[in-house]
Amino acid sequence: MTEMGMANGKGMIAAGASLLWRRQRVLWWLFGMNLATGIVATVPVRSQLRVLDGSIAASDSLYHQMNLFRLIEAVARPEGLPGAFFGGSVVLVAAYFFFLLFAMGGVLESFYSDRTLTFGEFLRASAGFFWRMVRLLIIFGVLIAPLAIAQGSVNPLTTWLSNRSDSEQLGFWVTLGVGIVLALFALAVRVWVDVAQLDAVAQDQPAVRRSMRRARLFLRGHFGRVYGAVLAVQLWLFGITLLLLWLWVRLPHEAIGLTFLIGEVIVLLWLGFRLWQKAVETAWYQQRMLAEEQIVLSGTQVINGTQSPVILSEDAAESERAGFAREQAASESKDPYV
Amino acid sequence: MRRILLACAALALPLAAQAPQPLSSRVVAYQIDARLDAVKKTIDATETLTYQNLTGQPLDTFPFHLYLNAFQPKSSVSRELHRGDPEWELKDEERGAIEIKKLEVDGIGDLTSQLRFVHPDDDNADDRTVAELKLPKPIAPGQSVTFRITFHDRLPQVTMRTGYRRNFYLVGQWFPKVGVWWHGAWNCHQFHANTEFFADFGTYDVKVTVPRNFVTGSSGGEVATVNNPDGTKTVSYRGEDIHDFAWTADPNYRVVEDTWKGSAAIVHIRLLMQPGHMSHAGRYMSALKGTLDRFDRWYGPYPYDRITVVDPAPGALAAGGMEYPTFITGDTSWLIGKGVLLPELVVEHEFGHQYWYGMVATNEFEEAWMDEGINTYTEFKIMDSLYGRNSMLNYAVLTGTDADSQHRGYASVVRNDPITRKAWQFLGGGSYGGLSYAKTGAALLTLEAIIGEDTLRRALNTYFLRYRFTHPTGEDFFKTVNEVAGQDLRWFWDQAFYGTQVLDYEILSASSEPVDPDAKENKMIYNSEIVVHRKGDFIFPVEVEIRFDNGEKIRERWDGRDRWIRYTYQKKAKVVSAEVDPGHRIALDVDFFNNSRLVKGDTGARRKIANYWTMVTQFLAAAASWLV
Repeated sequence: MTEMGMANGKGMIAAGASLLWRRQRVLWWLFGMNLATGIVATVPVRSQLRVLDGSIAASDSLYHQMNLFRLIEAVARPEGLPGAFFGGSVVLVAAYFFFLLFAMGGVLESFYSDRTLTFGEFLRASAGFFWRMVRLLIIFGVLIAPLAIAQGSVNPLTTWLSNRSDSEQLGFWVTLGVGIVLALFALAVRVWVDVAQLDAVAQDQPAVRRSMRRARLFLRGHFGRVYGAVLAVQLWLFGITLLLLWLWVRLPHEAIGLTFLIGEVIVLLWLGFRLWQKAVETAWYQQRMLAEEQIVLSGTQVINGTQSPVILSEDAAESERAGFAREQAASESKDPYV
Repeated sequence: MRRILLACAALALPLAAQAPQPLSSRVVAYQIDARLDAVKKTIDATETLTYQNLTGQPLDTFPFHLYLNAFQPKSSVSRELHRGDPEWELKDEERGAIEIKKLEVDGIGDLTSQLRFVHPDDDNADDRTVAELKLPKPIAPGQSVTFRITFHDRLPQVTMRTGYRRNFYLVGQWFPKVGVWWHGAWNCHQFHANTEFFADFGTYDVKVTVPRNFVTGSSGGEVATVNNPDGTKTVSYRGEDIHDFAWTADPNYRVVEDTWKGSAAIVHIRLLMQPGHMSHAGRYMSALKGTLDRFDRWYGPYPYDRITVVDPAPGALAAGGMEYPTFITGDTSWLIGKGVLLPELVVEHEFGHQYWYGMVATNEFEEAWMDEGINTYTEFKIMDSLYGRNSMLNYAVLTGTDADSQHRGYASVVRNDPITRKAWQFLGGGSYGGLSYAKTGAALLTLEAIIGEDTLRRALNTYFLRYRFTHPTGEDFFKTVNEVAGQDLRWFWDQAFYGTQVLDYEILSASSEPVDPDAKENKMIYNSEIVVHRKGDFIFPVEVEIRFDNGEKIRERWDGRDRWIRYTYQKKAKVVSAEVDPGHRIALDVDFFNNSRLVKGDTGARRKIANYWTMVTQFLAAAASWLV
């Protein structure tokens, strides 16, 4: 895929898909760990629900249909431990989150180098980049906090509006509208931090603030295309998830295996599409790096006066890259220790 | 002249014969002229109350409800709702009050200064929801007394039952209302968090003056509307044989009207809908007509010619789900889908109160189960009759009946209080709701297992016809059911209504062992043993069904008096399952899951729930990847 080919979102999405397809082993690993997390979290639940075995009432109301009120009674049995349901899952979801945080360095290394890492290489990469990923997570948290606060402050706003309006739906639509706008902003922050993660891995950059700055400069002039591609993947995910849920609710109550299978497909898709977004960003980043190398080369040639700088003069985007290269050089010379 | 008079009398006689007889004893007659200030959210009104002393003894003291004073920080309601929360404060706009400016008694004079606040239910001297007036001379039996009262209401923003929200008004408990002389004493309780109704039947002539663009509705039938020069209008209503009067006003109402023909009257149905809820008007109407039909056929005729359903404004849902004579409030939201039958259920329940509260006017303070609980039972029956098996939640993937939805509410508080406790003396709101509503409903469903569904329906019909327009007690209800059922059910009433016993039966074990393990397969004989255990202390006769693998079914009947019973069989077949209450009629059983046992355990429910839980956990974990 050439830089020109990547210029449109479709090209980027396809390049990302291709990269993910080649590096799909990473996805299966993450999914396998996810499945293990789910199974382990449910061990105490399965034990607690053993009391339902052989109960005709349970069979009628929870197997041959799903009676919500009986389900609540089954979960909240006086002799049961509601903590078995929630405690185990919360702990294991948190554990999986930290696993993802740990593994992200290895995932990005695999994507960026576009080769299958050995287990040892993967572990080394994961461990090597772990603290950078943690610091970038903190930066992401700091950047996204105002959005979360803004979302939290919508409630008083909708209450205020509701008190002054006869429209019952106003509050809902305001909350939804603000939520969508904030989610779009959050996705922008996500793209920025994702590119910074990539930069930290690709350049083995220990200073994450420098990666954040490089990512910002890198994205300048290209943000719309990258953001559009990532958003398109996200929207595809929502659409397919809805489609699968639509199918899921139409299955017979007794189709436990099939519903589980659809559930697993949804989980796999959520992980896969997230990696797809990362792969889209990686493919774009790789092309940007290639272009940078060309610019540096071209710039050298211009200075030497041995070849006409065709690329720089004919393409506005290339001109931007030249600007980026200059800013980048200036940035690094100003603040080499951040 | 005499001839003319005779001729007039002759003409008048048939007319008099045709004039409808009062349905109730009409102890009180209220005439109220009220003016709403839609800016200040206040009402200024004059009230003329004529009280007929039908008590058979002289009366020199009269108590009055002043229930809007409940919306004050130191009222008993505030105490009950916010007990143990020192941080709680009642916002200014949520405060309500009623002030008697002047009280005169015909033939006696101005007695305003003689009013004093009393608190018969608790030690809260700051509660001002009941005031008492001592007359200088008693009112003789058979005589009447007329009170002329001028009062001022400050309406609260709706937080509970009554008040305003922007231009929506639900005006209930808004006028000085005299107590009920009952069982030789005045019965006039304070306003409580869970309970507020008990009053005498009579007539209400009420004029309401509101801005001209407001649409109004009330407990009475509209008599006249007059437009005033100041941009207001005065709507006159009259209600007969009712014991309370509430009204509503809102410029945004959309009016939907229809009629329903019952055995006693053609009923004019009026829905006052919020514009954003018009798509739910059909749901309200359909539920209401179905409910009218079932009540009319099953329990007795609806004698009034009207019923008004108020759809509360957005933000005023706390005024939803309320009952007043011939006037109820619904409860819905535009977000509620067709599979959630909440709007239908609320309309059904509140209309049910026209019977169990409205006409059979029980004392809600002291025996709340008699209106809320009996009404919950009829709600179960009617919702199931109208909407089938999934009468509360009806989606492809999620289901549930109305009775299912209330079972846990009851089972979790069953030990707390007996049903028959006074409403404000329950351990808490959960206990009151779970027992007054859900347990009573479940108890009456369970009673069907003893006397039969039809018998209980006949008993309720008899109870309604016998006690409509009176104030019966719980014992009147029990006696009526005993009489219709032809048996003394005291053992049941004592445990289910007066006691806190827990009803819980379980199949402790079910197994089959070959008598001779070496015998050939086709000659094999098995010893089968089933042990049924009464886990709780509620003794109730139960049926036990044992199924064998040759298709044979055996039904045993156990009186439940002992703690357990063992059934043994020697057959060529092995036991497949054993089940207590195979007809699923003992709704009072707190745990349905242990009522049965399949020898070859069916693990479907466990696998299904566990799989769901695995998927939920996995999904949350996968969604977390967005943060990394």
